[in-house]
Amino acid sequence: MRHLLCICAFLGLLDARAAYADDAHAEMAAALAAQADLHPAPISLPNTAAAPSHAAAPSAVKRRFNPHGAAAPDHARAAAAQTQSQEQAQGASQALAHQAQATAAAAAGQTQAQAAKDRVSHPRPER
Amino acid sequence: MRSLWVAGIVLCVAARARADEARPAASSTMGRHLLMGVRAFKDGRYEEALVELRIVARAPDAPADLAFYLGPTLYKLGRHREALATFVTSRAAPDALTDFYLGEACYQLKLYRKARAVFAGLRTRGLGPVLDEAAARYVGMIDAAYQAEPGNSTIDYYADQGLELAGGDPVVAAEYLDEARQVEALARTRYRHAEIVAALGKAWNATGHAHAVVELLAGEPSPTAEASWQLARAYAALGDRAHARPLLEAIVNARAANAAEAAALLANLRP
Repeated sequence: MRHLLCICAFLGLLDARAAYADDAHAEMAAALAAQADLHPAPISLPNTAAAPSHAAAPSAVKRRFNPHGAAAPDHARAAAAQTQSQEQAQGASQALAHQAQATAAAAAGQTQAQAAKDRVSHPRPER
Repeated sequence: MRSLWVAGIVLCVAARARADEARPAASSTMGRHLLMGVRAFKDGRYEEALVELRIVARAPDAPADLAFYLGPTLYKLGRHREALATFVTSRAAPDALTDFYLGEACYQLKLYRKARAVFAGLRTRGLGPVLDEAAARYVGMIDAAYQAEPGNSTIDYYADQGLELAGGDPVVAAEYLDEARQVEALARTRYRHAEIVAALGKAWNATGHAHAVVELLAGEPSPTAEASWQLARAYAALGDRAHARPLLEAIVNARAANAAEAAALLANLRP
């Protein structure tokens, strides 16, 4: 009978964990749908004279991406696209600056990671 | 005894209630970081989301569908190659939203044939009206760009990118080389075909896609030495001695570039 009780408790905990996962999945699904890039920029086929291999498109953060951009007006999107193309045109000269930013971001990330670990190690008391 | 049963039921109900009412204060460390990551993503704080999701990724009980969270976060940070690698190496079941972001990552990386395949596939499988219209726009943009036959310089672009990445990042290299193969197939005349398929076979072997290598190279009419070597490796990895042995013997007998490795592989083939 005690075994049955243990199984019952274990199932209860499993259920709780599954509920967390479901919750995160549902929230993420809503965020993904809301933040999808619905209006692709026009393209042309790349060629060997195109941008250097490491020049990725500017990040959403650097473009000051609005997480609720799906609802943004078309002219705002057009402006963003224009900014993006201008930034892409700056090409290699920005690569070094980008690298420096990445280094700084990595350092900041480590600090944030440590802070996140601390938050988990020392959780706030529940109210 | 009856009280034990009652206690068990109460425990179950309590656990469920705790999950429903106090999810931010999750008992699971992983679950807490996952939720914090999701909420940071939701607010557009992608760097913070990435920090949280990296912690989740290191957890022993990390969710199998981590790419669903991590891939879009990397995409939003403009880390498209990492996003692509996250998506294509995920072993989770296909998911429409994850695939939509995979298509977007491919599009940003100029892997347009792959992006087109992803978006067209999503439309076939069924999407909501908003995402379906967006997927149609992506497909339309790519089709417009490919109205003219791709030139050799476009094939060069993809092949060179793939070859450049092959040493350090075989997963993404394979994506570029596969794009090169698909673009080359659209061209009127063959261009760097043997080189592209051999390099693609090597990248796929490096990432454990032996079946794909066999499918790619077994039908090649005049494979290069490198292609034969990659095909032999793939057969050996699949345990197909009947096909691997003659290829490996030919490489050894011809004293080709990979003769020593072929001999070692031949010796290791089970009788």
